[in-house]
Amino acid sequence: MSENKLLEKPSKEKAEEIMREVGFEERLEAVKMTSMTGDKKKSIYSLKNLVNFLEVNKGINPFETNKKGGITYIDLNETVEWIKNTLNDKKLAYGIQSRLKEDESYMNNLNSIKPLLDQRFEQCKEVLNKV
Amino acid sequence: MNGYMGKILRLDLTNKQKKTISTSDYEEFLGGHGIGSAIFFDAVKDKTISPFNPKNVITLMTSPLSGTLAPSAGGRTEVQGLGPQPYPTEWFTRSNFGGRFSAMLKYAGYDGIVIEGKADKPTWINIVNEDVVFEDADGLWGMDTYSTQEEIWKEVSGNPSNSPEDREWYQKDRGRDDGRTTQKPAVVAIGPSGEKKSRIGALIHEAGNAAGQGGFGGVFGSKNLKAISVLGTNSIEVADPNALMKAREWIHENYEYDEEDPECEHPLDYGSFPGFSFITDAPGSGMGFWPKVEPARPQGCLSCPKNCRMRTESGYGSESICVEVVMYGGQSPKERYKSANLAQRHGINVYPISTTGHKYLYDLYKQGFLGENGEVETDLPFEKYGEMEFIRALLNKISSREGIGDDLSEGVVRAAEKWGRLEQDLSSGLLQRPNWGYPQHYDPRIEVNWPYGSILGSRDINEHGFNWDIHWIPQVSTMLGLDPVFDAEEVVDNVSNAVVPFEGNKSMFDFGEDNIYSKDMVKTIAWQRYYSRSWKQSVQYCDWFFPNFHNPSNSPTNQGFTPEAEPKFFNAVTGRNISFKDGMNIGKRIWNLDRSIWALQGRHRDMEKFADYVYEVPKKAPYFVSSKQNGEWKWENGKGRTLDRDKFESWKDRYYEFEGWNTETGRPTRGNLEELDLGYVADELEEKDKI
Repeated sequence: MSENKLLEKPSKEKAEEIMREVGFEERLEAVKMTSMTGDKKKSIYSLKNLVNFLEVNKGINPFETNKKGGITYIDLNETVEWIKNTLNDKKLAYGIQSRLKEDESYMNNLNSIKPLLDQRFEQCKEVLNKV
Repeated sequence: MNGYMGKILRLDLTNKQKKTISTSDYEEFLGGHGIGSAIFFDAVKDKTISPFNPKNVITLMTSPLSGTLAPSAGGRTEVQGLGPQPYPTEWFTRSNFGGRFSAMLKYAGYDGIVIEGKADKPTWINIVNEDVVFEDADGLWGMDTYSTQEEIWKEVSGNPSNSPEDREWYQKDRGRDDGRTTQKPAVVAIGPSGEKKSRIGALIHEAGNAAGQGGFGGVFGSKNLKAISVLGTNSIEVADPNALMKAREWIHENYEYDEEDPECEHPLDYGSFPGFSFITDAPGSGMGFWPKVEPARPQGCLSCPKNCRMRTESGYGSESICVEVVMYGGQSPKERYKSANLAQRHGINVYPISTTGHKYLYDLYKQGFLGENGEVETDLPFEKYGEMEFIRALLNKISSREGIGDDLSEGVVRAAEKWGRLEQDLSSGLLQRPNWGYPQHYDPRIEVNWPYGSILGSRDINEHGFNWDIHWIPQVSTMLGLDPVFDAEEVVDNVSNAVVPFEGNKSMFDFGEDNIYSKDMVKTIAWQRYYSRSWKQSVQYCDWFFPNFHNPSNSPTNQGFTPEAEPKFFNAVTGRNISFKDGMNIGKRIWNLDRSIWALQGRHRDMEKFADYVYEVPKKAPYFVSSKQNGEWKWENGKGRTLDRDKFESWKDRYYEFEGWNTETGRPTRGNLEELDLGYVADELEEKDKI
């Protein structure tokens, strides 16, 4: 799937399902690493949480001075499963999975899937009329 | 001895008495932490009292380098005493803050302040050279830390305003030769949180210098002490000013950033990732932690060439650089600035409530445990988590002890204990507090020098000396998918070259799964404990600048300035002639003195255990450290590791033996204390049946 190819817009019902905040037992565990605080666990409860959390790493170079310093880490395979089974967004999960490459670095993989996550988040907001 | 002012101010708040102690009685302990520990040992007869007992003694100590040009050591203040934050025992502990307070205290003529007793009403202390006055703080009680400082600046100067156009001489009623200055007094203050005796109350100096760990803000509150203000106009006698200037030039020319290109000093074109500017010492490195949304300029403590902080145009977040800047993520950059500011104003130690703290609360809310209908009822606006409204409400509640804030003001760990959650949440790792109730900092299952040092001490060590080199160098590049910017063997060579008296022992930096329980790792920990107690916390070279093992500015070897720099500046200022190794031996002596104080508080080896998750829950994320595999040095990924409980207990045996401590109790012995000329300490341990 190329970066330019958008997923089809979800229905209102589907968008609500994708955008909902899941329960404690359904959370996705993540780690934020910064040099002052070390690495700290974070809980991801929604697509919005996930998109915001990964924003730190956005771009080819996440460590420019005008970005937050740090690395945010999620297990990418776990993330695919979480999107597929917990958020129940199989199209997004498939789109992400098809972009992941085993021999690529974490950051390169992240950079290849982040636009898709952003697109999906914006689509859902639009469908739900959220700014 | 040069560098010292010769006297330490001793203030009895109960009787409003002031006297001085001769610094020369304690100079053998260097300064800062060493002198603080020695004074505490002498002054507090019963070391098992509560931190909130008026008999608890708090010391604020300078270094012989305070107020001089020694890089990074000119403005730091070491704070010690019984602290209410450590859990479950309120250990004798330490904190430290930067800025210019210690320099101003020296200019006023003192090497430190010893505070004892409890004032009968809110009080602040006004020190202007030899004049020391216990002032009424009724009008300041309830004010935040910024307003308190502004009021004191006005009071001391006699000026009605702090605006620059109205600025006049401070102490204008004095003649020029009696000591006038344009400098504001240096003030350290508590906010409402400290007044309420919070265990996470901090001491705040200026906008963002904080002694957070330990809970000394709460101790100040328990003593009815709102603030200490210092204004001095004396100068410090330096033994060899020429040697000091030459040393400063030497470090600048060989180890510091290029001032012609100050913002872009880094070994590769990675942008200014702070992990590398920590190593290259680019100014404003901490600015990488802030999204730049407004004009700002680098700012640093007195004499520091690193200037890791910044001042923003709006003033929000100015001078904040440590965990407060990442305390609360997810909101807009401006709101991040504001939330850091808010915590500073309340005088709250943000580390226990940042990241692992509020995240834990939200996890409990999601479980239905906290909330309006939860097992623990609270009206905290969890639906606004991630927005300013939530953190504002949380800080207000902690600061005022209102509602759930009363529990949280005791710290998250004690709150979890009260709620019946502590054991299960430490076991699962939902609450990541590996040692003494302090938040996990660097991973205790892999980068073990951090947790080992912490559990043998009284707090999270917060010492980054090895961390930049053996962890961050590979971590950044590997996560980026780049070849490591430096190979493991080169870095380990440079680190091991510098660790006098164990120089050349590369195995000390093998963080492979077996070697972390070895005799080599005993030496790693011992080196770090001695170094920290002497050069870092007594001479007070800043953790962000010293030690310096691997320095890309010093090509082609990239060898850092440790162990050459530490005694160079110290000797130039004091006129002494000690070696780096001499300093390490003094550090060992101070470490053993501290260890004896903890023994007197009841410390036993059985207490030196980590939270269960460290042993039981594997590390989930990639975590790179140096390691030797099949004869080759590599950057090893420690993902999946846990710490082995039995092997760690065996490692403790090895460490206690190395120190000459009793392996059954973990306490110092008479033999080892007498070897360190601490026979008088052994006497007290014997008297209290703790040896």
